[in-house]
Amino acid sequence: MHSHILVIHPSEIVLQGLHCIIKSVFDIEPVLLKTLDSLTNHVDANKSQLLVLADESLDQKELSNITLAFPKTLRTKIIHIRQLAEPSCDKSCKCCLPLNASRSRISELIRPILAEGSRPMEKRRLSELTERETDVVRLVALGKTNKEIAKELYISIHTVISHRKNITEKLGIKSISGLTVYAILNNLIDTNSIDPESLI
Amino acid sequence: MELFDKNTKMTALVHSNHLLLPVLNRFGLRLGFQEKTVEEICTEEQIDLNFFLAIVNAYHHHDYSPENELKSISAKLIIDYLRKSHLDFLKVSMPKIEAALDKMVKNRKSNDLKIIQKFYSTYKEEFVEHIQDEEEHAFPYVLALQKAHDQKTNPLPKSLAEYSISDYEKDHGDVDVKLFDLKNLIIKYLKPDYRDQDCNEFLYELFHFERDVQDHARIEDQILVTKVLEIEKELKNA
Ligand SMILES: [Fe+2]
Ligand SMILES: [Fe+2]
Repeated sequence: MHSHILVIHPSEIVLQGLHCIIKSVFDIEPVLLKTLDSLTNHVDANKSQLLVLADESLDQKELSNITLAFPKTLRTKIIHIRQLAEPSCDKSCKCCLPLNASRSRISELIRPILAEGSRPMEKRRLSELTERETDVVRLVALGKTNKEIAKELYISIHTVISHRKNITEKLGIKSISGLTVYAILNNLIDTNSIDPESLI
Repeated sequence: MELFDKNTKMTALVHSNHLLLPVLNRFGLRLGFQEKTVEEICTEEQIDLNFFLAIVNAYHHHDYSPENELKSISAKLIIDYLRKSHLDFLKVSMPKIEAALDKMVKNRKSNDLKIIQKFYSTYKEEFVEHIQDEEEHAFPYVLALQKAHDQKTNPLPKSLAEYSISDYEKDHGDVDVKLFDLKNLIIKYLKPDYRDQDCNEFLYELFHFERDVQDHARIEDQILVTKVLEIEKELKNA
């Protein structure tokens, strides 16, 4: 799952009700909170998307300040839980959830958000390597073994192997010499001190 | 999946997949098919009909595996075809790829295609070595085994009894991986100072070659090796 969901509402009945519906429709366990206090502790930065369902009576300014501080890779979407539908909100409104909404209305509202979250963010994340993965590619290109890479980066061999697996998945390049070409084309290797052709 | 059969017009076969043209050449077929069917042409040219159909169908339909149709085909016929394919790769496909790559390098300012060229040449080295290995070791072993089988040689000479096709026919994974990487390096990471037509030409050749090589490896792994393992089982249990 690329998304996680937080529900913030003072009413236990509302919290449990939304939990039950979200769990059964999307098979996601939402985190339930009564106030904004511990919100930051429940944010999972490994996900690409955070959906917050927040009671309209909460301090909206505080809420937006908190969400602005989240990591940039985490796309955050807020939906307001309202006592009554706003007169200006019709059925197609994508940011309000009135308490009298039906189960199907709730899933209609959430489904496209989850779908959106799993697509474009994944693409963006796949297109670039993390700093650590870049270090690993560079060392692979220089002909180092997994053991040497682990030692140089102070990580376990197991971690090196899992980095390599992720690198191959992201780049679509499997062979060592292919990764070396990637590293040279992307200037990860100082080609002034090393003849790049000698590495392939 | 609609398979080609003996009544398919040879012309229709080419229309439905022009990539089969080099495959037809490996059987010694030339154009000018008129209204003739596969069966008519195979009879005229003294080509084994079942073998021909198995090969073109396997090429055209990726999930079609003609193991049963090929049980009766001699290993010699299969190896003949594989040898012709090897020759095609070395004398036609690879020179075409190299010419396209040279052209691409020549028309560019930056240096990074030199790296791609180097990568290609290491790939080629491995690929050629794989082919030589088959020509010099795997194929002669299979032919000798088939002969011993046909002549009911007993006991088997040591050179046959102590080996198995699995000692000879190496995994195709490594070679495939490099070809795949080569495509991705170009498609995903090339800096855009190349001429479109040069790069397209190179990629067309590469995609076509990959398809040919995959088909070839499939015939070796699924058809030749399967067949030889059966002969081995029969001979060595006797
Ligand atoms: Fe081969
Ligand atoms: Fe092979």
